[in-house]
Amino acid sequence: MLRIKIFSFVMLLSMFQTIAYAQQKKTTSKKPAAVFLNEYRAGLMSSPKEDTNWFIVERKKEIEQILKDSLPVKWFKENGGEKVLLAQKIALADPFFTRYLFDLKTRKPLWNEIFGVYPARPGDIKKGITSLPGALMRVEMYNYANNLTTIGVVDLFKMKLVSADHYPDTQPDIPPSLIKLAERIAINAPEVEKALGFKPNAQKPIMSSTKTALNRTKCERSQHLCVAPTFVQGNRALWAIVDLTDNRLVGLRWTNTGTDAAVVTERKMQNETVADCYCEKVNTIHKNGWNMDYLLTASDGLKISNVSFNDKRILNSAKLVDWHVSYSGTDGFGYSDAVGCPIYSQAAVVATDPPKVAEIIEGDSVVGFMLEQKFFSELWPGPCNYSYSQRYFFYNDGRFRITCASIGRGCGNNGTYRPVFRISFAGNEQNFYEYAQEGWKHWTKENWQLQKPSTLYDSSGYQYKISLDKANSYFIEPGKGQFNDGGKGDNAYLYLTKNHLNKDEGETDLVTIGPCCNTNHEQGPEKFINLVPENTANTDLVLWYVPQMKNDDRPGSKYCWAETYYENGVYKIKAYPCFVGPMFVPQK
Amino acid sequence: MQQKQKVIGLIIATVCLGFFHIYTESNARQNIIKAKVNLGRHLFYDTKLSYNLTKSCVSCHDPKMAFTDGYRTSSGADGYNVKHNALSLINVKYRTQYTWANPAVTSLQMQIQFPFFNEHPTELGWKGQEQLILNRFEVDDKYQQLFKIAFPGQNKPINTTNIQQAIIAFEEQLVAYNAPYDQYLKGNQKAMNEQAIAGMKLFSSNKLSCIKCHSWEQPFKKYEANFSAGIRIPSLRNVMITAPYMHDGSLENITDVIQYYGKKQSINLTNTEQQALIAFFNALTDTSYLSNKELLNPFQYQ
Repeated sequence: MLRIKIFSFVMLLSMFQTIAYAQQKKTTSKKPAAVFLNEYRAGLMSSPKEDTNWFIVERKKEIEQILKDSLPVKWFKENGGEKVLLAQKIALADPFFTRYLFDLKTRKPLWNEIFGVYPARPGDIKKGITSLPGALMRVEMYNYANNLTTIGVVDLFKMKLVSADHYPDTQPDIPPSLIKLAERIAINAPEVEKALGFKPNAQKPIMSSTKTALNRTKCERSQHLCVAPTFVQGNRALWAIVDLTDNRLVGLRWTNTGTDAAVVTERKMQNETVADCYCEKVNTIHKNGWNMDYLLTASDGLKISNVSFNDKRILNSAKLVDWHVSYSGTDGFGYSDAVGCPIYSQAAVVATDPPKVAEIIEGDSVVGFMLEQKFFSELWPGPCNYSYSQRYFFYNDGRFRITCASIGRGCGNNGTYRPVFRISFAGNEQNFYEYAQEGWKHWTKENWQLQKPSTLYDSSGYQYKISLDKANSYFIEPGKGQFNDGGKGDNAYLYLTKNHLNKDEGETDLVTIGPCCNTNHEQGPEKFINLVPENTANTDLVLWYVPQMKNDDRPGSKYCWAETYYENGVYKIKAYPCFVGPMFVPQK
Repeated sequence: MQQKQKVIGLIIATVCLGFFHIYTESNARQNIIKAKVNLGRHLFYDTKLSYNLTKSCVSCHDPKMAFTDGYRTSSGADGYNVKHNALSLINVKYRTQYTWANPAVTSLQMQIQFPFFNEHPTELGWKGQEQLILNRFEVDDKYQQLFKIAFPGQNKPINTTNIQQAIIAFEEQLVAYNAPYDQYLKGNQKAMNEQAIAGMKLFSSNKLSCIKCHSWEQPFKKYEANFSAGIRIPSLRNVMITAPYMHDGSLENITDVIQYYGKKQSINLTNTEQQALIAFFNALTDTSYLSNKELLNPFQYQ
């Protein structure tokens, strides 16, 4: 009897298990996620279909043709004549420059394009390179497959490449032909027409040259080369996000540009005098014990170098590498911009006036001086136009401060600005410290840190300290709203990296190093922290400083904003800059 | 004797079959719930959900910020900003009120109508566009499959009600009740450091009396928020990652909030006290849900 019971029980149990297992297996095997992932990676607007627009068809044919060439590179032929062609020829003859033209393993040709060829400016030339005047040209090449930029400097007289570097995950300024292509794709997209309510033939898009990103597309974190021709409509702006690697529209986003009027604009035009006097030529300042060189770079703003105080060298250089402007952390779209020289730059925000030196007055006394450079896009303060200021302050007591501000107005009232500073101190016996509960804590490895509400400061408000040698140290006081310049605080990421003398990690002019819209520490400088962070004790260091400012268009708290207002029968411009940047205070 | 054995065997078999039936029923129900959550997860992260393909739930409720979005007020599909700051969706299953200023909204089913159908401003923009949006899912093979599994036996499972139900099912999975403070309350004395404990004491002290309004949200229990002057007093769980603050997002960081209330109540807090409060607020953070990929973007994490 027991056997029967056991038998029937075991039979039922095994049947029960078999069915349950089969059911579970059935459920597991139905998981569709992988298919969705691939579909999404293809882009959000629609599934890829055959291109019918002639400009895309032509572009694709051109790519196919170039891939069959011995060097799969589209040459830059848009302007510059013979010199430009010769510079490319020299660069492309060098095996280091062409290292990534083909897949390193399969040797399959990869799609490359030279985006620009410019006369090399002082900021492009590495130490030790000598040449005849006007002999050096800078060649910028983009590798679409690897999202990699190669920058080479060639000597036209010696007919050779004198320096070259490859920068992964970076993108150079795009050439006019690509700006035109992006605008054509946007203007002819039915989605854009539907969103605007009309086909934007006449209405010219703006910001078409500025790189962008969009989450859940191939543009995410700038993995593809993407730009956003933008159409301003009333109080809104429509962003048409165009993937120039795949030559298609991948998304549309609206931003609210605020209700403030902008009926007049400054209409600052690019000017050759600024280019000739401050981009081609290094200028110097000797004032109140301070000595330095300064130069307007192509895309790293106003750079100061060889800075000394009372004959003691303090800084190798300081500059503003990028401006990351995010309008949505969750969608990850905005602009990854850079500021610099007019004329040669494709950037939309450029220097239109020369740098200015002014005295700093406190009470009745002159306590130092300031070096300032402003950058404008042409129709500022209209919506989707930008203005930035870079200010260096030098005090008679040896303090100095490195700052910048967005002066509005930008393309939305929910924006976050993240400027990227690179500050290289002088000397090769430097050490870096952070103020902690137990006192000054030595950073012995490359690292990064965010200034937060819980951050500790010493009794004077200093967060960090850098010693240049045994006798000279500087305290670092981040912005917390204490500098009386309207700044509300830096909320900054700080990165400490080792300065390599044998490889370029930003000493020369850098292309855009980070995507627009990362909300975490991945703003670009982290690329220079090795997988195994390097030793940072008693060595040559670089500080990267990335403050974060949120714009505001609310009455009473306007910040990183600009507007026009009516007074005595005319319209005037009012700006609300958001200054950020640390003060460096010598330790007595 | 043999007949008796047969009867007993039959009874045992019947009982076992009964158990088997209950098991398979409950298993099937569980699978349907899982399928609904999975569908809801896809919808939550998909811009197909907005009429012009620009927004999804995640646009305003980002996992990295405890399902808020970091903006004063979120922007809708047409670029216009909504009136209030995005509320966190963490532990939404245990809430009893769901909006900043309307205590009458007492279920997720009621709440979800706002982002779907609000017009001034538009959020997802469903009003007048329902069929257009539903068509997108109808022509999508993968969504057809997801809806079929989540709503078995229905002839036309792709409809507004089912979409909302699936999203709600997903939102109900967003639970995080293991902050250091929870652990401390459970007896783990090491879960909070001295500074955070000092902050906790200060928070409940007569000097500040924060606790009077911000009652602690007990794990897995219904939480009824207080309202003051018609505005909800939010739970402080994950407060350090949900800036900016207040119903209109007017205060950018936690220091501003502390100073605002200090001024309002005429309380002078020393720097040490402020830091202690911040340390306590940090102890209210639980981001363990970020390691559960089933709650994250299905188009990035499988």
